[in-house]
This record gives sequence, C-alpha cells and structure tokens, in this order.
Amino acid sequence: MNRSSSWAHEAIAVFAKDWLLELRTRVALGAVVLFAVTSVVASGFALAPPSGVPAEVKAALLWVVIFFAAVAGLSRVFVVEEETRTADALRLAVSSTGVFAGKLAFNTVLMWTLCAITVPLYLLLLEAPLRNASLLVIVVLLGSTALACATTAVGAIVAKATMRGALFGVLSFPVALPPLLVVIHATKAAWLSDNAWRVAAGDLQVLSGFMLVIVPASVLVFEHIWSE
Amino acid sequence: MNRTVQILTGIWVVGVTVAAFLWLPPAEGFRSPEAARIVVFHVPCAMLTFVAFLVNAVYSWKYLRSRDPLTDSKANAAAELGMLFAILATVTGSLFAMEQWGSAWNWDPRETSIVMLMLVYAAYFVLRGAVEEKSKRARLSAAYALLAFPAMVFLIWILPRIVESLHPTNTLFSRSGLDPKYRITLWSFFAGLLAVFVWMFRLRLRVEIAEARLRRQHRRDTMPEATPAGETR
Amino acid sequence: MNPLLTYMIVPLLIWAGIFGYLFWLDMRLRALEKRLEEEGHR
Repeated sequence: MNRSSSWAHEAIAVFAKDWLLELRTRVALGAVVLFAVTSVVASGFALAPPSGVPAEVKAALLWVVIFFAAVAGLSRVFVVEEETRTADALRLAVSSTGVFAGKLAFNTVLMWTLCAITVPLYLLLLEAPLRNASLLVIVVLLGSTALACATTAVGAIVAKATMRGALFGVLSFPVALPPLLVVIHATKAAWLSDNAWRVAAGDLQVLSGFMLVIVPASVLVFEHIWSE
Repeated sequence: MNRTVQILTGIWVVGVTVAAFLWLPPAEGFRSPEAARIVVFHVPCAMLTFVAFLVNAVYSWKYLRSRDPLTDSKANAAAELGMLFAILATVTGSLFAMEQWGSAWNWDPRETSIVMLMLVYAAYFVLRGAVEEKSKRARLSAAYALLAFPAMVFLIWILPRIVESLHPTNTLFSRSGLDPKYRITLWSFFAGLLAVFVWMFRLRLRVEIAEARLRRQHRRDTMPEATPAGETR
Repeated sequence: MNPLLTYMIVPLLIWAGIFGYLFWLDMRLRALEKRLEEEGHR
C-alpha cells in the first residue's frame, strides 16, 4: 500500500470510530442541534412578526446561529480523546494526517447535519424568502464545509488547553470570519437577487479558495499540535 | 542596539514629527485640509501592525521547526508590539475619520481588518494564558498564529469585494496617488517607527530572558540536583 | 473639534503609547535585574 492511500484508510477508520461513538452517546450532535434549535426559536420569538425584518439581517442571523451552534460541538472530537485518554493510543496507531482528515470529515458531516436541521427550520419560522433554492443548498453546503475546515485544527489546539469551552469560541472566530462573511453575502444573494448565480459565483469561488488554503495550513500545523 | 543608534533614532523621529507640522502643507480636497496630515502618522502605525503580524508568523513557523524557546519569546514579543500598534492605528484612524468622514467608526474594510487583527492577538494572548506548561504553550500558540495568518490574509483580500471602502487603494506606491511631500514624510515616519519597533522588540526580549533566568535560579535554589530541561537561556 | 487640535493630538497619542510601553518594559527589566542580583548574592 502506498502512503497516500494509507492515510486515507486511516482517516476512514478514525471517521467511522468517531461516528460510532457519537451515535452511541450523541454528545456533540445533541449539543449542536439543541443550541441551534433554541436560538432559532428564540430569534423567531424576538423578531415576530418576521415579515418586517430585512433579508440582510436574516442572512446574518442564520449564520451567526450556525456558527455559535458549531462552536458548541466542533471541538468535541478532540476533547473526547483527551478526556478518555485515548489520544496516546490513537497517536501510536494512526499518522497525524490520517487523524486530521478523519476528524475533519467527522466535523464536516456534523456541520451538514446541523445545517440540514437548522436551515429548513429557520426558513419556516423566520419566513425567510427563497428565490433560488438550489443555490441556497450549494451555498449552505459549501459554507458549512468551510466552517468545519476553518475550525477543526482550532479544536485540536483547544483540546490541549484549559477552559476549553470558552476558548474555542474566542479562537475560532477570527479564523472562521472570512468564510462567514462570504457565506452571509451569498445567502443574501440566494434570497434576494434576480441574477443570484452571477452574484454568488464569486463568493463560491472565494469559499473554495479559502478551503484550499486553510486545509493544507491546518494539516501542516496539526502535526505539531497533535504530537506530544 | 547601542546608544548612538538609539539617539539617532530619537532625533530622526522627532525631526519627522516636526517636519510634518512645519514643512508639510495642508492637503486640499479633504473636508479639513489641516487634519489631513494625520495620515502620515496613522498609516505607518497600521503598516507596522501588519509587519508585527508577519514577524509573529515567521517566528511561530521557526519555533515549530526548531523548538527553541527564545524563538517563542520573539513571536510573543512581536504579537505584543502588534497589539500596541493596532491600538495606536485604530485610535488615530478614528480621530481622522471623525474629522473627515463625520463619524469615528464606519465598518470600512480596513477598519474591520484591523479590529480582526486585534481579535487575533487577543485570542493569541488568551490561549497563552490558558496553557501552563511552557513548551506546550509555545507549540499551541505558534500553531494558532500560523492558522490565523492565512485567514487574515484572506480577510484583507476579500473584504473590499464585499464592502465599499472609504480608504484609497494603491496610493502608497504609485506616483500619481499621493503628494510627493506626503509620501516622503509618511515613509520617513515609517522608517523611524520601524527602528523604534526593533528597539522595543529587543527590550521586550531582554525582559523575557531576565524572567527565564530568575525562574531558573529559583528552581536551582529549591532543587539543587535537578537540571532545568527545555528552558535554555 | 478644531482640526489643527485633532491633528496635534495624533502624534502625541502615538508617542504616549510608545513611550508608555517602553517605560513599562524598562521598569520591569530594572526590577527583574535587581531581583536577580539580590538572589545571586544569597
């Protein structure tokens, strides 16, 4: 087996292990989804009737809700390794790139699940306009993936420090801000603009570019975070 | 930096400051031409913030390669100076904005990016405060600095695409953009501030080294047999 | 506010910030060196 396929296999193994554990305990999923649902309902209450609220505000609010819900759960994959003291075993068994890829895949799927629940609920409760549904799906998919890419390595840093919960939000916000701004812009376009695809095309490119930069940077840095 | 260089630096920056008052003409075309001269002080501060951010990233990278504690101290010193200059740039910029644009804060892309830089520095210091062990703290904060660096470059690059800017672009280097007198004063002040930056940087390092020596002495007093590991210099 | 006054405040602020930081560092360094010397004699 050559090296490139070996880390991919390791990543799949880590991903499968983490999801099995998650489906048994449902800690990250529960925290993330409950946080998101609570904040969507709270915003619905606060803004009722939502028809008077401008779409810009709604787009920003949606992603603020998603980001902070993600903060509640995305560091879990690394924290759980430190808490159950399984990190050392994992370090011996799997290469650091394999671990990172597996955890990144876990967080990405977690983000997708979060968005699959939050976005429809949000559209329903806050009467958000829906001009271009297919574009919205792509924007949400890319945006949530970009957020996972931006914050996974930060989660690994936080797991090694004290007062993890508070720290993760503080540390991930600056790194997650570029994709957040772009995705809010694109969401607004999907809701309002008549030529939404043209408006959002640049945003989608920037989002992809961001992932192409932050993921290799994370892989390079992760080796040093992960090894003792 | 020896005494002579320090004195020369002092004379240089005082000279530039005086020249900005006496030699530099008020700039026509601004709402208040007299106060337009703020730019020769404000822009170098903002530039040094980015220089400090770059220096911090370079030393963070070097630390991960070498694991030399002194390199970590250098990265930390650069971050502290970056924070200082970010505050100075923000305050002077707000004064300028109040005078020229009517409000102290406009969510202009440059304003937003400098606030983000301050947030990154703040997060960096919080992270350093949250890790007790010295080598671990160095490792994690270096990793964070290297993650935040591409994100910040991205942010500075994408913000103008999303929001309109009140700041001019490309005036610093092009011939047509800025009155030559302004350009000369601005870059002279930048050179002076850069020298002051190096001075502060070295002083900050000396503090760090003295602290490390004191800690080592303490340890030697309490445990005479133990040799200090991982903490040279 | 008078524009000239605003303009004069700016360099003052910058120098106050920089010298404040320098003096603070210098003070810390002096204190540390003093302590180092005291403990070295013991």
